[in-house]
Amino acid sequence: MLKHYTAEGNTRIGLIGALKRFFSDVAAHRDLIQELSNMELRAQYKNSFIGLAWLFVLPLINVLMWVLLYQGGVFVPGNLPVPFVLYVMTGSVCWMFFYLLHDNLSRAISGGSYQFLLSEFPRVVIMCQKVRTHLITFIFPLVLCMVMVPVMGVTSHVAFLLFPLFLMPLLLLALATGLLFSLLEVVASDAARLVNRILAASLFVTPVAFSEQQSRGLLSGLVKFNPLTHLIQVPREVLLTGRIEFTPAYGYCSVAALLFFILSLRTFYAAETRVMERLHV
Amino acid sequence: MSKRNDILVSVNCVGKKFSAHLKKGMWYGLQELFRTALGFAAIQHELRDKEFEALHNFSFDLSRGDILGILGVNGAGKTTLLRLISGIYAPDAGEIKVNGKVVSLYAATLGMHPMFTGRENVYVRAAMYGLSKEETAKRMEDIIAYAELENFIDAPLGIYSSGMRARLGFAIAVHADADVIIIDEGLAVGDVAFRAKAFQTLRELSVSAAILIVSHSINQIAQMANRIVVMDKGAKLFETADVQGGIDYYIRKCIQPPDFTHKYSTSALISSRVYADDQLTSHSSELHLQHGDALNIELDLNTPSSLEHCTIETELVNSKNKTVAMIHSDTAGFRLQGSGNQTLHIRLPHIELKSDKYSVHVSIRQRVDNLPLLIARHIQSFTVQAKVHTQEWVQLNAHWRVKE
Repeated sequence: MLKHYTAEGNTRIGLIGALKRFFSDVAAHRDLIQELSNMELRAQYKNSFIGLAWLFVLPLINVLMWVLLYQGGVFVPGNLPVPFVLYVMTGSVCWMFFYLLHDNLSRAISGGSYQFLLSEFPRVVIMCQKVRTHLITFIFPLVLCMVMVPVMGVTSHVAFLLFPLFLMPLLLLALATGLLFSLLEVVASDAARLVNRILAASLFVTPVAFSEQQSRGLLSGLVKFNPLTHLIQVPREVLLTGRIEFTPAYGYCSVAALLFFILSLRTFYAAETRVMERLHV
Repeated sequence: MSKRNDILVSVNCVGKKFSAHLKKGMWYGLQELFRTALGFAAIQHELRDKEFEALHNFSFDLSRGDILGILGVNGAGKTTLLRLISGIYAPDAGEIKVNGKVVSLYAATLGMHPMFTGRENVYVRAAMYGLSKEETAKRMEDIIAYAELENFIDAPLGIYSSGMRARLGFAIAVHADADVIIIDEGLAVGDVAFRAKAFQTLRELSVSAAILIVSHSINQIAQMANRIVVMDKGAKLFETADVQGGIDYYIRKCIQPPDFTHKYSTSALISSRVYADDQLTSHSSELHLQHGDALNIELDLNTPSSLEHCTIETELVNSKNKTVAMIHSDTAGFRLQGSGNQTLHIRLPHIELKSDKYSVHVSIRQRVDNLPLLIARHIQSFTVQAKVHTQEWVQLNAHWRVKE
């Protein structure tokens, strides 16, 4: 186990090298990832009265807000193929799947987890821990969505069980932005905060609670060129209808998310040590 | 296998710089982030605005069996060096090769969660040291027994005392099959008995591992190390396998007496000298004494009024600015007489202090109300070298014999 630290560090690491190192780090530290993630999960709910019920509460509050706006006539979602509640629920869960992972990852270093960075294990382990925790946390809302489809009288096809697979590009996109912004949070927290706010506001230019056809003018353009539009619509379509339709936009966005993830991973490996020094822990 | 071939850590001409300014540091970090993202080298060889060198051209090797003590005052670069070896920081110059598993004791309780039991925390901490769940399970009972926490291991860590946490952290670390163990002021674990056990364990581990100790405690270094590196301002000053010689060098060269301020008038004290019995002339260079040597202090006084109703107190103050001995004129029943110019000679037949650098403080007080007429701090300094290293400052000599 020879480690060689030089001034150049990992700056020359390539895209394939970064991917190889990522998989080797995950394989070598799978026990640690599991332990840290289990601890994080249990710590989150151990000192809470309603415990795991929080997993349902947050998406439900989100859905209730949209339903309130809809019933009050303030909000017109356009023509929807399924009941509004189901449409909003599935869209919200997909969007939160992306945004919450991005948010957790981007705060992983500057937040309390930086303490772990004093240890010798690779920092990417912390990122994997966050991803594992996130995936486990989201099992419940995702299953809830899948159960609600037949409950609300929507006829789907057995292929709707593949819905989680179609969330993979969203996962990659969240990983890509999360890895990059975790570094940026340390050296340029203002810029990172600004972009995080913009990402949070992207909810309103993503057809989570309204139909894409309903948007007009500038909003229409923003919705059309927003990758989240396509990365959320296709999995939702799979869930609600069981039809697997690869739109070209979904394909482009998925490939772009994969490339963005690999680039971010490479940047993370190349810059992490230099950036960590700025934490002054 | 020869020792040269068994080098576990090789630090070669390593340099490291930091920014002393937070915002400049962030700006440089942002630049480096973009440079590395684009595939360029992150480092700038020249010092940028507000940057300073924390480590400069530093080299040493550490082999299996070495217990290297690193001595240096605050800001010498010790922690930076350890973090570089741990891979937490990247060097700005030179290279570091580490062959084997590194376990750092300076972060022994890091990542432990107060809400979880000691046992649960063992699994997490051991995983951080690279042990699998099965390996940890096999060692669990040994770790618990070593930490002496049999009755508390299933209680939440939050109720542990700091000593119990430190013991648990230390127990996990020494069961982690480390090749290189790094200790940064991390030997203050538990009570005296546990500390003795910890020292013994580290000595046993050093047979198969290399140990790097950074401590301000000369005693700990003296007890553990078999090699010494003295560093100051980011540079290596001295390296030796003569532990005593290294410690003496550190005391002589690095420990500066505190910068005392003269609170009261010192005009009554014209000059002063300290010397050993065999150094009869006054000198401005430092005085080095062996434990048990005699110490002479001479004070040239010029007082306008009689000192008949005054006492004179001479304090010996250690490098940590703590008074370790007091020489009071009343103890010997000595009375100052007269006024004007006079030289006062104080002789201590045996200096029975531990190795350190000491300062001499003098005060003259009115006997009636103890009000000071003169307080002169740090009038002279001297170093003492003792044969043995103890925690206690006074090492009394005695006559030893077996009674028949």
